[in-house]
Amino acid sequence: MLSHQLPNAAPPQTVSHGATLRSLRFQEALTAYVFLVPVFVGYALFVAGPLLFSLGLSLFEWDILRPPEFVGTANFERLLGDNTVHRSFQNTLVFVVCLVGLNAIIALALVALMQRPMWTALSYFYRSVYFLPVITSTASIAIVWAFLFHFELGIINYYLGRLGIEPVRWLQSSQWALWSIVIASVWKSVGFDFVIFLAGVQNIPRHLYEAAAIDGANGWQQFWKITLPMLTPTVFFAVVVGTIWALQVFDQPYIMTQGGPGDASRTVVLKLYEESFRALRFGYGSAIALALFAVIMVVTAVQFRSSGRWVHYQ
Amino acid sequence: MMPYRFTSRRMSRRFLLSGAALAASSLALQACVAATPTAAPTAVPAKPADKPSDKPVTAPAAAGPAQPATRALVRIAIGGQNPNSGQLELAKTFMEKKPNVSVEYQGYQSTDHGDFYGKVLTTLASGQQIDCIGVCTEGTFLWAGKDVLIPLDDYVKRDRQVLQEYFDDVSPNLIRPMYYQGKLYELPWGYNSQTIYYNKKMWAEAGLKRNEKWTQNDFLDAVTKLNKGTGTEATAGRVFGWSTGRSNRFWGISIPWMFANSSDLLAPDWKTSTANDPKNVEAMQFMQDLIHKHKVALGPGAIDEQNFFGSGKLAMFGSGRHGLRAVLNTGFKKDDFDIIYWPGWKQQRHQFGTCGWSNMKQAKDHDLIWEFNRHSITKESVTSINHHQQGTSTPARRSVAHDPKLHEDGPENFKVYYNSLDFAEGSDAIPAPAEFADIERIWLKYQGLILANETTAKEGLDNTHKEFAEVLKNAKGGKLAYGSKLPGISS
Repeated sequence: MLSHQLPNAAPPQTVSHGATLRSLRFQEALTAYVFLVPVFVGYALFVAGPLLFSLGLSLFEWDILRPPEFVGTANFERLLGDNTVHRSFQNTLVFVVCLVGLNAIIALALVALMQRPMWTALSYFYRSVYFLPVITSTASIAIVWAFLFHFELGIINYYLGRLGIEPVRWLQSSQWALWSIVIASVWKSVGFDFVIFLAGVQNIPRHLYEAAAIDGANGWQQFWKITLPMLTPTVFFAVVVGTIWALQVFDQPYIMTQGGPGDASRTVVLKLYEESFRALRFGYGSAIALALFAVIMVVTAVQFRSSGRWVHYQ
Repeated sequence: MMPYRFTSRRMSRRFLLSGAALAASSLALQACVAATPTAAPTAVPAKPADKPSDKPVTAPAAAGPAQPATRALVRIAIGGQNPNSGQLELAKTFMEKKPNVSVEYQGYQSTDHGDFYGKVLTTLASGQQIDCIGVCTEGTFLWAGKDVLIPLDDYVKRDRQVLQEYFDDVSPNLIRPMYYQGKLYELPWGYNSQTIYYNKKMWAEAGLKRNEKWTQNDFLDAVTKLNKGTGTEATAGRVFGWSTGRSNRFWGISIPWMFANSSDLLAPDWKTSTANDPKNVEAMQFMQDLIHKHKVALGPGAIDEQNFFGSGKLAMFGSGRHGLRAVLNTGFKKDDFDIIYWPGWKQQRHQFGTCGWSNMKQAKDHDLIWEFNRHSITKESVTSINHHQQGTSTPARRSVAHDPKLHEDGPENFKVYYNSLDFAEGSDAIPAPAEFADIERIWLKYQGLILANETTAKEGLDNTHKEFAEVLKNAKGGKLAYGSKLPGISS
C-alpha cells in the first residue's frame, strides 16, 4: 500500500527529475563516506600520522627526555656510513629471499600433494595442522625454537648426533644464526601460503584438467602447465605480502639471537628498536625506519613491474 | 543527518547500516580521546594479580584515623608487572606513617634493565607522572646524566644524624656507584654480587675442599674434576662443570673474570675504554678455553642454568642472591648447595650491581619523595623488601644481610653474599656509564663472537675498544674510584 493510498496521508511531493537524481547521488556518496570514515580515521591516526611524525623526527636528535634538537640530514648521513645498519639490511634481504622463496616452494609442493585423492576429513586435518603455527604467537614459537636449536640441550642436535652428524651451533655461530631464524619462520608461516594456494587451486576450471587428461598429460605435466600458471596471481599476492611482512621481521631475532653473534642475525627493525628504545636515539631510529619504508616501496614496485612477465590472469 | 524521508514504517537497511557506521566512528573517536589513564587515589586492596594489568596498583590503605579528603600521590615505577609483597609492605608502612599519602606502583614487564628504562622513558614522554623509579647501577648514570633525577646531597646533609646509623650499616662500596659527577643520586636498599653456587655432593665426590681464597687455577682444576662426559650433547650422565651464563648478557659473565684478573672494560672513572688491556684478553681467552678447549663449560644459550643445576646436570654456576629462589624452586635444600667467593687471579675482587630509589626531577613534592627514600632504607624496610620469600637481591644493610632468619633456606655460607663486597680490595660495580646502552650493545656483540669461537679474544677486544672509543668520545665519566671518600658522607 503506497503512502498516497493511506487515509490522511500527505500528498506526494513533486520535484524535478534532475534534482531528484542529484539528491540521490549525493545521498549515496554521503553513505559511502560514512562507511569509509572509520577506516580513514584509523589510517590517519595509526598510519599516516605516525609516518609523518617519523619523517619529521628523522631530522632531529631526540632522547625523549629533552626537547628535540634539529640536526638536518645528519641522521641520514650517519646511516650511510653505519656498517651495522648496512649489515642489518643485508641480513634482512637474505632473510626475505629465503623465507618467501621457501614458503612458496614448500606451499606449492604441499598443494600438489593435496591434489591426490584423499578423505575429506584428512584434507581438512592437513589444512588445520599447517595453519596452526600461523595463528600461534611468534614470540612463543621463537622461544620454543630457541630451545630446539640449543647447542648442548636442543633436540635437533640430539637427533643429528644419533645420525652421526656433528652438532651444529645453530644460534651461536654467524654461519647458522640467520638460517636458524629462517627455519623457525618458515615453519611458522608456510601454512599461510599453503592455505591461500589451496584456495587458488579451487578456482582453476576443472575442464582444463579434463582436456589435458584427454590429451594424455600426466599429473606432473598438468601441475606444471595448468596449475602453476593459473596459480600465478595467487603466488604473486603471497610473494608481495610475504615480502612486506618479512622485511619487518623482529620477534624471532630479538628472542632467539638478539641479533648475534656479532651482527650475524641483526635485522633492520631490531636495529632501529635498539637505536630508539635502548640508545634513546629516536631521530636516528626514525631515519632507519624511513630507509626501510623506502626499501619496501622499491621492492614492491619492482615486484608489480615484473609481474607482467610471469603472472597470468587468464 | 540521514536525508531520507521515510516512505514506509520500516527503517531501510541502508539507513540501519549507515547509522551503525556512524555509531562505530563516534565510539572509536571517543576511545582515542579518553586514552589517558587516570590515577586512582582511592585505596584499593592490591594483591599481586593473577592476570597482567595495565592499571597502576595502589597499595592497601593504612588502618588508622579517617583519611582527609585529598591525598598526596606518590607514583613509583618498578620492574615487573606487579609489585611484590615486599614492595606492597613498603608502601603500606609508609602510608601508616603518612596517612595523607597514597602510594601507587606502576609496573613494567621487562626483559632487563635497559628494556625497563626504555619503557619508563616512553611513559614519561607521554606525560605520565612518575615521582620515583627503582634504578640500579645499569641506569644510575643514564638517568643522572640525562638530568631527570635530583641529587640527594642536601637532604643527606640535613638528615645526616638520622642517617648515620644507615651509613654505619652499609659498605661504602655500595654507595660509591650511586655518585655521579660527585653528587649522590640514590641510597641503596639492595644489590647483587657475583658469587659461585656449587653442588655440595658433587664437590664431595670429586674430593674438593672449600677454600675461600681459591685461585683461578684451583677453579680450573675443580671444573675439570666435576665435569663428566665429553662432547656437548646432553646425554644421560653428562654433567657440565661450569656454565658461562644463561644468556649472552653484560652482568656476571666475563666482567667477574676481568675483575679477578685486575682489569676492567673501562677506566675507573668510566670515561675511557680499557677493553683491549692484555689482562682482559687473558680473561676472555680463559673463558673461551673453558668452552672450546677444555670442554667443561656450557656456552651462553637459552637455558635456565638454575634449573640445570637443580637437575644435577651442572656442578657450578655464577650468580648473586637473585639466583637463589630459582635454585630452591628446583627442590634443592640447604644441604644440597652452597656459595663461595669468586676465585682470585691477580686479585679476588668481586663484581656487583646495586639498586636504590631515586627522586625524579618532575616529582611535585621532592620532600615527600625523600621521605619515601629514607623510609625505604630503614632496617625494617630493607628486611621486608629482601625477605627470603621473594628476595631477589642481597640487603644493602650488613645487619640485615647477615641475619640468619633471612637465610633459613640457605645457603649455609650466606655471609659470602655481603662479605664479597669487602673480601678483597677493588670489588666494584659493573662498568655502567651514561652511555651504558651503547657499551652493553657493543660488548654483547663481541662477547658473543669470542665465546662462540668466531673471533680470537684479542681481535674481539681490539674491535670492542675501537667502538667503545667512538661511543665515549664525549663521555663525562664521573664515577668515584674505588676507595675514594664519599662526598658529604665520609668524614
